[in-house]
Amino acid sequence: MKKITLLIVLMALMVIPVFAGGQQDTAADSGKTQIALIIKATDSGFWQKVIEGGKAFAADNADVNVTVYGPASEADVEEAIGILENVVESRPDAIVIATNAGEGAVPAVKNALSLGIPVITVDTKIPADVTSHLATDNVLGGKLAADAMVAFFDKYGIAKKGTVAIVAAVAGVDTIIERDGGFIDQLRILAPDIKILDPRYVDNDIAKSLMTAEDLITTYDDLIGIYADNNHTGDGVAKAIEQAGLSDKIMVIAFDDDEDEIIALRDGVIKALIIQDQFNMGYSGCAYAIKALSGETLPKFVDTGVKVTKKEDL
Amino acid sequence: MLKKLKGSQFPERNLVIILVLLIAVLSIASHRFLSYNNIMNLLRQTSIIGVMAIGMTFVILSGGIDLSVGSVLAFSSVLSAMMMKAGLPIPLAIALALLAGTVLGVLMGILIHKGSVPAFIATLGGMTMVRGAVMLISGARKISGLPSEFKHFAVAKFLGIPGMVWIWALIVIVGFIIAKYTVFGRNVYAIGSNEEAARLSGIKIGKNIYGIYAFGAFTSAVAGILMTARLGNGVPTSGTGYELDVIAAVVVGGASMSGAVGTILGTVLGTVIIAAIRNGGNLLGINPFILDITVGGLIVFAVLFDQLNKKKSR
Repeated sequence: MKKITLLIVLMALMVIPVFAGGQQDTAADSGKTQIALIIKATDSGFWQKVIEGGKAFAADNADVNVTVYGPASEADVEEAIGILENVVESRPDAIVIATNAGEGAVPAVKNALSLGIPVITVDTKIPADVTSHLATDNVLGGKLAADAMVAFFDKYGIAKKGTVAIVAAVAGVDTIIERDGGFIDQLRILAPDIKILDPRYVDNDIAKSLMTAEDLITTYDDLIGIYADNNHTGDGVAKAIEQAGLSDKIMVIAFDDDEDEIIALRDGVIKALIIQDQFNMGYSGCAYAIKALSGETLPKFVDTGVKVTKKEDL
Repeated sequence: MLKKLKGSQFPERNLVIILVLLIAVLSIASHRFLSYNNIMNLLRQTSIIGVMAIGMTFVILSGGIDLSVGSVLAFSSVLSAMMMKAGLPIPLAIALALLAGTVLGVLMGILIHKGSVPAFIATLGGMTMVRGAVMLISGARKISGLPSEFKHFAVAKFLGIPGMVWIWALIVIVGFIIAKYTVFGRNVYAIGSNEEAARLSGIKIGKNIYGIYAFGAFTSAVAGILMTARLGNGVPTSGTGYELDVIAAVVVGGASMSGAVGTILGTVLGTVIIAAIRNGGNLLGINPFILDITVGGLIVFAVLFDQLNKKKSR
């Protein structure tokens, strides 16, 4: 008898959150325009800013409700696809999505489009004809990173003929490929004698970026620069450089601007940050979704902008 | 005959041979392998898995398994970070996080012994629940802005060796003493060999099982503190997939998944061998996917070798 009571209590405990979740849905159903904002990862400061942008749009537009979805880590691609499929099943009025799933996201996105749900991709392209795509010009961002790195070689009197490494977030994602490609092409033009190593991929894991940077520092005596192509790689690389005390010898340029990256920039460990306007991705992403719903024809690509920030710009 | 005798008196002999050969090959292939900086890198990179592997050794020796270790790591990481951020004194925050982690282990022990839930299932459920709880309390966000005295610990050195390596060494010594010189240690082997026989000979199975999973979770919580110091953040996604790396280290170290066979020294050797392959591979620029194949092969080979030896001695 005691056991059965316990079992019932346990089951009740498990069911409560389900109802709690369900209530949110009914509250959201009250005639507002429903936008589903799907991000790549909740564990990252970068995506938190995209969420802030989306929430700000909802705050500015009383008839719009923005619901945020996303896996915990960018590496959870399979989970991301599942979330997208569930979102499409919940039939929102519009979907704003950033995903690493690439080809894997296409069937669900096509399904949404065929149901008349506009789909706006932000940050990362997927191989489907979506309503509109808002993103940083990542090739340009990579080029700006190479420009900044070379400027710091000159500033620190470092000869442009050593080794430069790239610590890359994830393999096989367009955003990252474009950032690295832009960087490599521009660095080859500016400093042809520098040996550029193939990107080292770290599954967007800070601990792995730190480990990889430590090994790079030990392996290459002539390492003069490391390019980290997003916030988590930037965090890990900065830790390794700080720990080794090599901030005057190895120039670090990183993408994005999370809290730790800003601290590293202030301490001179990271020399320059390539900052995207992620708030704008969230805000304008939702704004474009509303435009699409009102029947406006949207441009296929909107550049949300990118800028270089150094210590003195803080 | 002589060979066999040596083998049984010193079960880690083969591992020592493998490690010595590995070090010889790697130091010939790369003059940096044996450098002070690289050895410190290797030890620092290994210490987190190394600490957890000691706890896992007891679990596996008892014939059990613990899949929740990576989640417990994240739990302790996020909890300690949140408490420090809330202004609690650092030692208190650490102590409470360790205690909370240990309690999780006791709960899983109770589920396994009292509830007769197979360890695999109990800890699989535990892994998922604890990870969910971590995401819930942290909002799936990194906890940044920790006191710098705490972050300094990861970089700080004592007698030229990083602090986190000392912690690993301490846990190894504690584990060694428990396994070899305490009643609890002997009970673990007895339970792993034949639980029914152990019970009939008067060993209190329940208490020992709780102790085993409590110690396992405690080491994971220690690893969580080390991870927080190393990354300078409480990271809710940290430790994902670590359960497999930890089990691999214990198995390569000669422990048998069916219990009762294995030693602390073997686990340490297994941990270091896997780490040396990865680190050496990085130094030599070997494709990381080939390293995965090598480490995977090593796990299978370790067990295969064991089985062949058993057949021969029969």
